[in-house]
Amino acid sequence: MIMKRAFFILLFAIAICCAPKDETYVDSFPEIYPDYISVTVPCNIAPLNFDVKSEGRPYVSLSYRAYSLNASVCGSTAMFPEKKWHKFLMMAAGDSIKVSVSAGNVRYKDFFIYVSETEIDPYLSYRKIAPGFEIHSKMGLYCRDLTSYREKVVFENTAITGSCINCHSFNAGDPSQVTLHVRGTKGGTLIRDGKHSGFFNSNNGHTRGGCTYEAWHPSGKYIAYSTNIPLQMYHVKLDNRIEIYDKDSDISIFDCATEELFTSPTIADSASFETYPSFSRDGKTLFFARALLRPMPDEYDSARYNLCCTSFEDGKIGNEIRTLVDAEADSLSICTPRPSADGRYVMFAVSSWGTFPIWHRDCQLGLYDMKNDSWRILDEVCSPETDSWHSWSNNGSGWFCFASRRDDGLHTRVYFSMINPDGSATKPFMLPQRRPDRYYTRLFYSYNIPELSSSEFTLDIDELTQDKKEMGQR
Amino acid sequence: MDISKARVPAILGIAAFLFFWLVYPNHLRFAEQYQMFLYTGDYFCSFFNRPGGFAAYLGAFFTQFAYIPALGALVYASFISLTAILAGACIGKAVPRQSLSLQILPAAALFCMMCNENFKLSGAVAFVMLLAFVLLVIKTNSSAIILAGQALLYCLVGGIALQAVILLPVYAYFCGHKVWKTFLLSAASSFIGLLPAMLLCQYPPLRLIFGTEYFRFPVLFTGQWFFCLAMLLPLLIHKYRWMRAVVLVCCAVLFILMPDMKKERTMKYDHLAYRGRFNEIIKLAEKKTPQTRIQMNCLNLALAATSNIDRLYDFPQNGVQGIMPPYSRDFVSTLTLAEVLWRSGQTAAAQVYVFEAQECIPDYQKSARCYKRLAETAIIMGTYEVAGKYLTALSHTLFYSGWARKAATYLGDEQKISGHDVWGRQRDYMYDEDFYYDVNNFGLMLYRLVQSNPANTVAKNLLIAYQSLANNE
Repeated sequence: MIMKRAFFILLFAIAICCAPKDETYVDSFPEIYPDYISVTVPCNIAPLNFDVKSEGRPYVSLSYRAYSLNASVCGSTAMFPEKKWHKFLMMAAGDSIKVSVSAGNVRYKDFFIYVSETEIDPYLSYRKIAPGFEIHSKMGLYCRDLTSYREKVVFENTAITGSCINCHSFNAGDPSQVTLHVRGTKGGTLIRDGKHSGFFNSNNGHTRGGCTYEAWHPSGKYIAYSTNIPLQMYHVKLDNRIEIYDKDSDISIFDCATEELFTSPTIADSASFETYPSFSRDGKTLFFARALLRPMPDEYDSARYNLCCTSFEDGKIGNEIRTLVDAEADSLSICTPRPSADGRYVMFAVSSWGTFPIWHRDCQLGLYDMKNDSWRILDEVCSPETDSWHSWSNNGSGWFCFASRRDDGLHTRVYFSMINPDGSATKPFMLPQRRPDRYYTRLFYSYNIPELSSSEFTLDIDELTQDKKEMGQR
Repeated sequence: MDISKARVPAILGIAAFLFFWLVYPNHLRFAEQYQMFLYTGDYFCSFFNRPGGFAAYLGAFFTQFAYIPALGALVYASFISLTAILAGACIGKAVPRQSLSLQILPAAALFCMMCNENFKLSGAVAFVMLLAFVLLVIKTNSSAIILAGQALLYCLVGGIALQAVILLPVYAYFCGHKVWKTFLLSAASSFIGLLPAMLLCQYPPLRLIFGTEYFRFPVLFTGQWFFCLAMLLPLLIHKYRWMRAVVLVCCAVLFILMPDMKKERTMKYDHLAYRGRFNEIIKLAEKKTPQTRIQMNCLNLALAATSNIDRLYDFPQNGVQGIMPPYSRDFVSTLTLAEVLWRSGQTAAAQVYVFEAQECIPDYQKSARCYKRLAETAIIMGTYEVAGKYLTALSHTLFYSGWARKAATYLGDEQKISGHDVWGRQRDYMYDEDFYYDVNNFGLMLYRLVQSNPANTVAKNLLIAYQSLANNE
């Protein structure tokens, strides 16, 4: 009798708990972190877990036609199982997924995530480095699988005491062809062309400085390097934390076969600064940023770089310079021009002056359309904080990533967006993490030089400790 | 353990406690301020990507208590006592009826290491665990324990574990166990532990052998082999009274020579400047003339802060470097000089110096002291998101969480910040307009600061001192 009574009491209690609660519907979107509301995502991206910034335990579900996928919840984080997420995304490719969120007794307005039919390059390599001034503590180069949360260490500076690694660059997203620099007493420039690996002393006495920014020729036979003499100053009010300017800069081309640098007055004019080279996808054009030579640092805020190009055929640098974007005329300055995989666009960073816009809060992304010979600021992508250092997906899909300080104004995070066929850009979304709020809150590193690639980037430490060779000069 | 055997460890422990608490407390503070132990799962997991991570985690855990020097001294003394107990047990098994005084050798070795401000407690943890392992092997004489335990010990404590390859066979010989078998098992087990580390870890192989966690600088820390020597000497000299006497005299000499009182004094200056106890700095300087540049920087700051700049030449000066020397990339002087910048109202420059000092910490640790100051500068400059990150991190510490939670209530509240006795004042003292900071023109920086706010007496006094010293150069 007692057992029977206990059973019915238990049944009643379960019924009470499972009874539908009174939910209040609110006609506004939930506050979530990261902001994935109305974003467009590639169909191969890792699950977009997010935190619901509301009182009460969140309930999150995705729906697409007759299918649904519920998130498991850990604290305030909605987490989607990876395999099921990928199946769901593939189903919804080309369409949109509805996301329903409720928390406590509040039911929020549903929002949508649009799933592109196109994929993004599956790997992303970046440095993680503290947003410091001169000195770096622990830092490293990492490769992230964008279809999951797996991040692998490529190189950490504990492996070579006192070193810093920077400016890694792949040939058209192929990390078997890579060049990067190691700074420090044992530093040098690594060049791996897919078959051979060489470690070079890039300051051969003929160039103004050591090799800094680089770009592969699509043939893999040449690498364009800028040779810069950068200097640094600090603001007392720290609105813009640091000012980095070039005392001088030129561009040289490295011939991988002969291991020699060569240049020409077109890209190494004593009356101007040339920097940030990049090749077009067909290899026939060399883009770069160019500004008139000015006394530095006195006129640091008058140095304004235009987007220029010259021809590059059969290893010969052209004689004429074409100015594609006269940023100086608009009191602007362009840096880091990078052409898209389909050759139609050139994306760049643009700010009020200077050559190192990552520390300029007004830095934004701009897009030059080769078809229309026009350019614009990507207002739909940019934020009030620094947006810069972009990388195109190499599969011609129009996806790109960039580094942005919009999260807290100091630490850069990686965002993704896509250029639509009509030239507009989608709302950017942040690099997904398993527990994004906890991860990004506790992360005091900045993501630096994000580079998309078609395969995983690996590095053998022996490549960085081999004997250094000298770069010849033609 | 009988009372006679406990006597030596107890005496050593009490002596060590009194020494570290009363004579050497600033070395403890130095150790504590260059790390930040967090009670989070991520922090815990971050230690286990290399051998020795467990010892490093425990070392960091114990080091945090040095925030209160008495507690830190208790921790350090406990390690010394524990070392004496374990070493005594090992030596007692190997050479019964030997002099109790030889027990002190390993503890003496540890004490000497602890006197170096860059020796980390993870080394003490590793040594204690090594001794416990050696004792376990001596007592059980088990091949399985050697084979499994050695590799595990290496994973847990790092390179110090490899000393067992020498210690175990030697102790086996004195205990009448099989020497070669012990040596081969220990060597094989060490190899089993080392090989995956060399293949997977981002460290040079030699550092994996010598250990990565015992010393603040990324060098081959050969000093740890003194522990091995200290464990072997008692076995080798126990028969010879005169050698015992020589060794004990050497220990006594080391006890006197190893503590670096000059550095202790400099650290005291830094601590007092950080705490704003300027009158104590002046008293310290009156007792004994400042002997290092950092001491001079602290003294001149104290004179400026207490409006005693007329006493500038009561102490031997060495020019404007006594106010602000050229920027140097090190984690010690940069942090002290950040106090000069902070106290004089140069908040942005203080933030740069504190950030760079932290980035210079050779073992890549984060510093709770730096995080606290960075949070304060971020609050003053209105970058509340960044301040919030620092405060969130500090809220996961033992000794800074209370302050962090209180500071978090100021975020975004302009009125409350203006009403804060320090932060409000620092805001008022900030430069009126933006320009590029040049520490090599420190006098000009001070001049512009005083121009922005003439009520900034610290900056004004520093400027007077700077100009006077510059004129005398």
